[in-house]
Amino acid sequence: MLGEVLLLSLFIALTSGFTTSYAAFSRSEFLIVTVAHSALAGLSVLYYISYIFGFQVSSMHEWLMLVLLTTVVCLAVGRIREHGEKELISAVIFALTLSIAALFMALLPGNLIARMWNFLTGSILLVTHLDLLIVSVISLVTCSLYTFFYREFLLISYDYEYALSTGIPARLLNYILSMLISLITIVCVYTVGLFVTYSILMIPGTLLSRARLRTNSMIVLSSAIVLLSLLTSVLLSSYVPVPPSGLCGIIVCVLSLVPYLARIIRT
Amino acid sequence: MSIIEIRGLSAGYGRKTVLSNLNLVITKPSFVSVIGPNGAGKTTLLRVLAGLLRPRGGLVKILGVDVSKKFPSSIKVRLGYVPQRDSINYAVPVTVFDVIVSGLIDVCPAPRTVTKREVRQRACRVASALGIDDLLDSYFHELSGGLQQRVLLARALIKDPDILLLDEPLSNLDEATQQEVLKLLRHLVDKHLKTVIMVTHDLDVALEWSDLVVLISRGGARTFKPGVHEDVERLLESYPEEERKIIPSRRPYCG
Repeated sequence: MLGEVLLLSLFIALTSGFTTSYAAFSRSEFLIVTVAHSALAGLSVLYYISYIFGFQVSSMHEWLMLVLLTTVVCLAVGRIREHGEKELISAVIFALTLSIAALFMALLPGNLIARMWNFLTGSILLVTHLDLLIVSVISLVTCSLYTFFYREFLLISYDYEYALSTGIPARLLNYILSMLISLITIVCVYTVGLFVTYSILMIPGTLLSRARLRTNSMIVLSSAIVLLSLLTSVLLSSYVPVPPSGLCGIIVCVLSLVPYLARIIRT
Repeated sequence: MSIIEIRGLSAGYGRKTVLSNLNLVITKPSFVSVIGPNGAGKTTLLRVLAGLLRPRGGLVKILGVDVSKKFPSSIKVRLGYVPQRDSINYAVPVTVFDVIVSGLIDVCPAPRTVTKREVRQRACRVASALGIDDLLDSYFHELSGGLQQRVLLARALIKDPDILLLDEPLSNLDEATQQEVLKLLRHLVDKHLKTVIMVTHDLDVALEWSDLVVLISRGGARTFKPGVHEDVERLLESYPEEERKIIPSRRPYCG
């Protein structure tokens, strides 16, 4: 059990280090929120359908729904980005999916609402072997892609116009980057919950990018902060009767603030 | 074979047509300045040449290859493009070295074919030529506008392109730095047989440093040779009165 939690934390920390950094670089923080809420909406619809038609929702159903939704949202956001309206479309999808989630959650019976609540607060201790397998495959694939296309992703993040003028497939890489950010978002929503997803994917990247760190140092430090926060919160929650998600959010914020404040004090 | 050959080019954004029936031929390595009023289509022309905007009609040939329908990577690697600095996302903490070597991204894409040492040497060489070799480890977003402009120029030059496309590279540069950059560009044309196509608002600079001045106006282009007195006269007559007034004239060209 402890080994699985440790392994899962390691995979999430590794991928979220890259994701939070690239999200900050490519100003895709809104994409994370949009995908996270779309995931919630998709799951609430899935559970409502299962309730109406009387079938049991399995982990595989949930994963399939999440991946399908991510692809749709990501393609829509990526397509609109070409026209410079990324924030606008993200805001529309964000509002729409949150409303859908609220609507369908209200129609669910008590036991299914409890399951949906798990996606908000997280349940890292309830991870199954299948979840671990899926997370490990997604993590390894995304980390490999992030590493292999490091220079290309960096370039399209800081100078997309120039990237388009070079011979690299900048548009395709831009879609891939959005897809990777989205995939990791749903992995986090599924395993550690919506609240923790916001903190681990948005806070370290946003704060560390302002702390004068080199890009690769930023990725490593973000991963370390997430790993430390996940493990500490799980450990603390076994002694103190509080949910690990709340603790994790606080620890991530505090740890990410340290380099940022140090930079402010130095200057 | 022409370096650039444009026949009947039309291009634009959405429903708006910016360039229509534009013709331009550059047959030998030259310093070409593209001037014109705001919104005339100077940047649009450069974006077409850089492969960022597909023409709606007409023929565009670069180094003898038709790029009107499909812009091959083999041509892109022979172009050095310096966009306007407002296209850059300053939230990314990249160093000057990172920015300069990103110019090699299409010359040696993954899997990497050039060694780190070789990349470092090339970056140092080009940075040294532009007087920014002591800034390689500095953060790009912390530099002044003028130094940033030099870094972007270094990024375009590192892959040793045949054609340099520069979108207002002199903006935010003081006069001394402008002169240095212009001297370097002139050197690249005269000694290294590069073709430089530079968008500028400065008519004086265009007349003083270019081999050819292209005036974009009402969607079309007219070319003038700065050394020819009649051409300069015609250019000044063609240049819109209201635009001419805001150009700080350093030298009298006629009269």
